[in-house]
Amino acid sequence: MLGVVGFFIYGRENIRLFDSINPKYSNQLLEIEMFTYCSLDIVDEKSQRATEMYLGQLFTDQKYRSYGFVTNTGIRMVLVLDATSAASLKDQEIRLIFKKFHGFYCNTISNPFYEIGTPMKSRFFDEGVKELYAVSE
Amino acid sequence: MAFPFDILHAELIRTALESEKQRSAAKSEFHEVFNGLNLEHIEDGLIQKAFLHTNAETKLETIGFRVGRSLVEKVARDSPKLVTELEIVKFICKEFWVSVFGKQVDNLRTNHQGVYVVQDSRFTTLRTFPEGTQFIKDSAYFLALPCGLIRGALSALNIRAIVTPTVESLPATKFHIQIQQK
Repeated sequence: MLGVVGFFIYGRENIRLFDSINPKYSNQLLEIEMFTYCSLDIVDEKSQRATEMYLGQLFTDQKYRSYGFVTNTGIRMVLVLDATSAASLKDQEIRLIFKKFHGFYCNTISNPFYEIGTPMKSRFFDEGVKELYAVSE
Repeated sequence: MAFPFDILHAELIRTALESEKQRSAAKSEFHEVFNGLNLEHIEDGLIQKAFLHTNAETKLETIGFRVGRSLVEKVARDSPKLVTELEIVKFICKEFWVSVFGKQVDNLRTNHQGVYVVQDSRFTTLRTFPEGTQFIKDSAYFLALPCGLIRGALSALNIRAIVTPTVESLPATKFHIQIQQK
């Protein structure tokens, strides 16, 4: 019971590279997107002062909580969790999720057919989010 | 001793040179055809081929740029956060250089105004060359891809730069990294 709502990856200029929303929450799509965009502003703010790639909790409202991660190359990742779910993820677990997805991102851009800066589709991400949602059940 | 990379690199250079040769051949053919004004006999795509603005070095540099951009993501994955320009250049000279070229650089100098000079006394792609000044002209092709790699890596780390190599005596190489102000 982790309550993962969605996972998003943005480029340096906030171009969306990857997005995925847990099918369970697909009826709240617009709200989630809006919430993620709000979180991105906080990524901008926090990444200048941060001393590591993991930014911690970004933003929270009655429904969702978001966590951020910025890589050395300026890629932003946002993880959205359900704030109403009883169990919550520990900091260490969230770190691990980001680390894992950073690895997936590395694998994806290593694909010679991928054009840098375009939305990405890859087996690694598909399997990664599927696993996230599976443990969120 | 040749690593698989050296063989691949040599092949890349050969292909790039070949395509340049084809381009100049297409260009001269185009001139001939154009002077004869036999416009019906132009081969398909001849005009595009003749006016392509890429020579072998630029082509190799572009390949390097793309590879460098992807590679740096992997190399920078476990490093601490890089903030200042100097930190990023240092990272390129240490971690990136080791993972891509197999050794650290020998010297890094800067004027603190956006110009960095990286010195490598035994550069990887030139180590099979005999020492001396005999093959300096040919070494340019062997430095185009590495220059692109460095430029691509810097660009992924949000630094726009011009990278140019200079060789005085093989296999020692100097790379000038000139940072473009945003």
